[in-house]
Amino acid sequence: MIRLDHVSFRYEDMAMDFDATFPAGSFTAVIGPSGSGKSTLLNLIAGFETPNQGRVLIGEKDVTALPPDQRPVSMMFQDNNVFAHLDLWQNVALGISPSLKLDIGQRKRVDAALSEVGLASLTKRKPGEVSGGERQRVAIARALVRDRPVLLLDEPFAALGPALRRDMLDLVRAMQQAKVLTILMVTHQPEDAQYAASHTAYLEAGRIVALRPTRELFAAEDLPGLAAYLGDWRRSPL
Amino acid sequence: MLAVRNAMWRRIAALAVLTSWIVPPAALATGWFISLIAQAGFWGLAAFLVIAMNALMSLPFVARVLLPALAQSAAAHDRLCLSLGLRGWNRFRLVELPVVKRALGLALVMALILSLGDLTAISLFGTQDFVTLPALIYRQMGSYRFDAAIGTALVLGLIVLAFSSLAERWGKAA
Repeated sequence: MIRLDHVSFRYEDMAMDFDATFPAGSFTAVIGPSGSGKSTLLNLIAGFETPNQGRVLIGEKDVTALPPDQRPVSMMFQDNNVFAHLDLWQNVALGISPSLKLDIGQRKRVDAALSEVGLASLTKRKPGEVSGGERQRVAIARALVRDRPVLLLDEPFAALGPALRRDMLDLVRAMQQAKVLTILMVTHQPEDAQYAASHTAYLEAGRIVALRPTRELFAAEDLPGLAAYLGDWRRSPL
Repeated sequence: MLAVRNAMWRRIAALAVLTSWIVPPAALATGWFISLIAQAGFWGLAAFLVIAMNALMSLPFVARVLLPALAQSAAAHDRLCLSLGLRGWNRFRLVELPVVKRALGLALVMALILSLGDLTAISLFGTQDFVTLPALIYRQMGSYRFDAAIGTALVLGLIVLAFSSLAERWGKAA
């Protein structure tokens, strides 16, 4: 469970207030216009930003003062998820040990994670030698070996085509079911939210305006901002 | 939080560079010379003073080469390093060093060439028994020992060639 307890955060002249609970094992898509605070919401949970007021709880534990690596959180970014000069195996292994010193059992876990995401034959390649989709698979494999109960996705699949995005979402969902993860995923693709997320949060101007089951949220008639954000999308049948 | 710490480091680095600009190495060396000449064991320190001075002189140039590379690496990798707990020596070894290796090689060569061409430090701290090769060449030419000067110049040239090709190879290996 992730709980934001009256968290307020000021970024330049924008004030944001988040007060919400994301139940354990839920998959929540986070949507909203640019600058509405989607990434900030994830950064507050991950620990890249510290709230001016309020607390961040993961499970029952107050993590507000903890640095990112000590929080039970893995995060995938839109880009720069891998180190270009390390091979794919090393990139995944960093999820277990920042010194890259792994014992036999840990090495086996890295191998297993790489084959789970379909990269078993590419372990010695450098990120520059594989496709964009494969690079994001590396990040998924790393989240697998890190094995933390919360996974935050900050538009990691935005640069991928529709079919590939589905593959990635399938991988993430398989991981979620195997490990009972709590997932938050920022996305600008409503169909990604509908495909993978049980709940969707709609943000506007630094606030969570609505957090509802995905189907309900996209059908909501009481959110004029959401209608404007989605534009013609809702009227075109899928 | 991230932005604040980055800005702080950038300011510290910029300050170090600025200091070596506004305090000319020659003035600095003269200061050291005056304040240390009375101390016993001063002449034993001379070699270290020459090295320290040349290092300070090279600092602005080295910083020019290294800081952009480091800043770029930090911008790209800061959040990932933070979330993986990569810090200190591990971060330097696994993230920064491979990225700036080439730049570091170039910076080394620049510092080497600059230090070799420098006669300020040695003219203050040098003695009959302690000279640098360029100063020795001057000294030999000053006493019309041109054969000896040619020989010294050859040795100097070979050393420079060796060091710069080493640095070059090291940068390429990155």
